[in-house]
Amino acid sequence: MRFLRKTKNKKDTNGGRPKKRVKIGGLRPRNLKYYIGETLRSIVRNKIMSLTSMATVASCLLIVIFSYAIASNVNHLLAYIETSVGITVFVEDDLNDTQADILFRGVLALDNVADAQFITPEEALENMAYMLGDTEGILASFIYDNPLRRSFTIQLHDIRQQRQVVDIIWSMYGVGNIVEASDFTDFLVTTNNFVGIFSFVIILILGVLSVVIITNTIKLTVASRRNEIIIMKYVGATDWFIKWPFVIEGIFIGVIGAIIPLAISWVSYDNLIGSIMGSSHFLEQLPFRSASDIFPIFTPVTIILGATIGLLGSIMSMRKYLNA
Amino acid sequence: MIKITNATKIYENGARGIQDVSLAIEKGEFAFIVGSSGSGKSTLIRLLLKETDLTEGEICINNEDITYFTKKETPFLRRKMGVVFQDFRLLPNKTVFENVAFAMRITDATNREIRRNVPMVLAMVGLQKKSKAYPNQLSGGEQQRCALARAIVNNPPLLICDEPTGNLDPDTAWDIMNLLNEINDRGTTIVMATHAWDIVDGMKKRVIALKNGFVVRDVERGGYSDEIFTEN
Repeated sequence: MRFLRKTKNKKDTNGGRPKKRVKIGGLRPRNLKYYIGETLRSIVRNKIMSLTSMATVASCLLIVIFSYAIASNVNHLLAYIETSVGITVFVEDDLNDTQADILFRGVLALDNVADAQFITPEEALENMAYMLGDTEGILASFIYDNPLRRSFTIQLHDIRQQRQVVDIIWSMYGVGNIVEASDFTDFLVTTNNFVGIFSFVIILILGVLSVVIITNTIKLTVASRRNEIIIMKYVGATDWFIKWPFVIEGIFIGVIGAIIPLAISWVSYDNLIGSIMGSSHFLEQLPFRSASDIFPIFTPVTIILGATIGLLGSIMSMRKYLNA
Repeated sequence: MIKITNATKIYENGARGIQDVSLAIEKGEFAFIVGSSGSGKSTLIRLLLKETDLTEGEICINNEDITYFTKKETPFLRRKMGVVFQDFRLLPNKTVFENVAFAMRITDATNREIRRNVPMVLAMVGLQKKSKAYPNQLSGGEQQRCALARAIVNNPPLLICDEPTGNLDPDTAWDIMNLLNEINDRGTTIVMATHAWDIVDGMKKRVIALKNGFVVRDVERGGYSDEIFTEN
């Protein structure tokens, strides 16, 4: 008989662990070719599922790209409008030209005033006709009975000093009305913030949605290969050796899912902006961002976003099976 | 090679896997683990593979106490042993060559080493002409040969076999046993759990019998059942 006596085993001093610290498998260049090969095989084998994931990520990222493009343009336009708004001072109708000129020079001499332009009623009418796209000359009929006042627009050195400047101008003789932009400026700032937050929320929601969808897709792939994973573990594969092909697959799906909407939006962006600008004279004057402004920055951001979505999706979907 | 001391495994549902088992298997030995269903054979195999943890006691393999091995250390333990299962457990989407190469690849073997060693092992198990076949294109015996090739390709000092002949016809089962015998002759320690009494009786190797989780018999050159068992 070969029963052992119940002798107490000599314990090692390392809490039962082997003396030599074992290596933890990582990404080794030698195995990279194998991982990529496994990834491509898996994608081909589960092509319908892989294409579905790519299409889903692509759809989400397309919306993200357009949300960003809208937010970026609104931001840009608001910044432009903010810098171009000033104070418009309307001269009393009773004032003669000399008095109006004295008032104009007085305003121009104020400390915080950077520049001012005198606008005659005729120029004001012309500007209005241009802004409204009045190509048929309807407004031209008012030229002999012009309802517009003489005015001058003022640009300030510091827009935050607007209230003080307006108070001084109000105290001057001959001021009929002042249209100041403080309320409008506040509105612009608020709108800008709102668009920023709104687009951030949209991007966040779609990002999370993409992660959930890609997680489920890779979960299905992992579930279908559950037995393989168990076999790999029996043979002695580390968790990371098993994970890498799935991680690369997730990143691959995410990156392709990013490249598709980038290509679509890059090609269509300038045409879209062109047709928006062509729809009215007002819009034509606004400085929209071009594709070459947006995409050099947004391309790497979107690709990294797609890769991150894929990475998160694959890691989240693997956890359950590797802990089994 | 294997030293189990006062090992007890009680599962979470209260079922007792093995109880107070102590035994030693020396380097180069061939030991059968026999017993009826529920006797603790599978628990013992699972414990050796570190698939589950002991409740009490210690297990040392190759002078390493594996009792407290962490989850991260387990793969490195498994690389030092080959495993063969009743249901072969081959990777279905890989060829015979790739299945065997997989066991080498996880040990960071170079492609050159893989190209050199895999054909050698496949020739040893008689599968050199089937290296490009997928598991579903092989017979049961061929699949088990492939599993055996995978188990020994890294030249492990220990081979654990869980009912390796369970799904095979008698002739094929003996082919596999002859291969295992050959591998054992080269110095590899083999622990084999089995129900196949004819094989146990025919091999005349060490037999460790379990019943209700206890070791009830441990003989140097024994048979499957009490009646034919004779202690040398």
